[in-house]
Amino acid sequence: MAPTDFDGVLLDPTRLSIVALLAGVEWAEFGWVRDEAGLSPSALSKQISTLEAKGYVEVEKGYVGKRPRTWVNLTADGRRALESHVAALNRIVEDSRRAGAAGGSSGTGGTGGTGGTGEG
Amino acid sequence: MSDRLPPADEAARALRDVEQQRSRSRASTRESRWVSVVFGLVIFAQLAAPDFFGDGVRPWASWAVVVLLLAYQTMLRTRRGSALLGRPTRVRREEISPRFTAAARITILLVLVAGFALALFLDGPPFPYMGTALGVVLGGTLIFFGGTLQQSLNSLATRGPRDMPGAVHGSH
Repeated sequence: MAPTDFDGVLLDPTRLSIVALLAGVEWAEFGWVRDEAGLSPSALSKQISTLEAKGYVEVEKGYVGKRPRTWVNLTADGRRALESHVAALNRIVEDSRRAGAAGGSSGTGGTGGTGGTGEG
Repeated sequence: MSDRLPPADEAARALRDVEQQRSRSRASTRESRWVSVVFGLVIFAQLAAPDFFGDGVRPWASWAVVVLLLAYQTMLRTRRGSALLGRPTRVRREEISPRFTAAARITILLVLVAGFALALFLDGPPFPYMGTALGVVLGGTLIFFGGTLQQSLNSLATRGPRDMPGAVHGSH
């Protein structure tokens, strides 16, 4: 598998976690992402800046009443990057399973391949 | 950074984390307690008002509910409106199970049909202050169990991991 299948930015577990959180929503408040990802505001801010620079997330700042709020959303590029990254991760897992099954079945005649899509 | 392929166990862990986070985001619909309280009080007022002020108030009460629902829907569509309602996210429509959407539509239709049928066949309420009693039950349920009901609906409404595009089990 080519290493280029993987997104270097998303190889970081924290960033992958943030992008996966945002994948299910149209937008989310900064505070919610911070709580769900279990990060400090400054740590999240740093990761969001990296993702924003890459074009994976958009940030909108505003006020609700007198309180400042920040909203974050995943861009189409970010969604594509996550999907191809997840597909690449899936392939690694499937390849490993197949290799394990082939190794195990050499003596037993098993078929291997225990489900999953695993298309590559 | 991208020169190194993650080993299989690390990849599997990353996939589990992705799925876990997506589940969290799908279950993120929640709102402030005051929203349930307002809706509960309005439902109670709508149902109880005719018992105390006569049938003449019915259209006014219905219009008040329509206005409230429209305002609620409008707020849900904007970030600031949602923030006022205490909603930190807006879950993507694609995350909602089509089966749940169909079931919800059928349920609403059945409730409306049942309501019309009752209005047609019942000549007045079967006992005095029936609207008030119904208002207490429905409004009270919403006020006291609104959050729990919402969580149950969330889990029904969201798709399972195998339905998710680009999630652990598939790609597209």
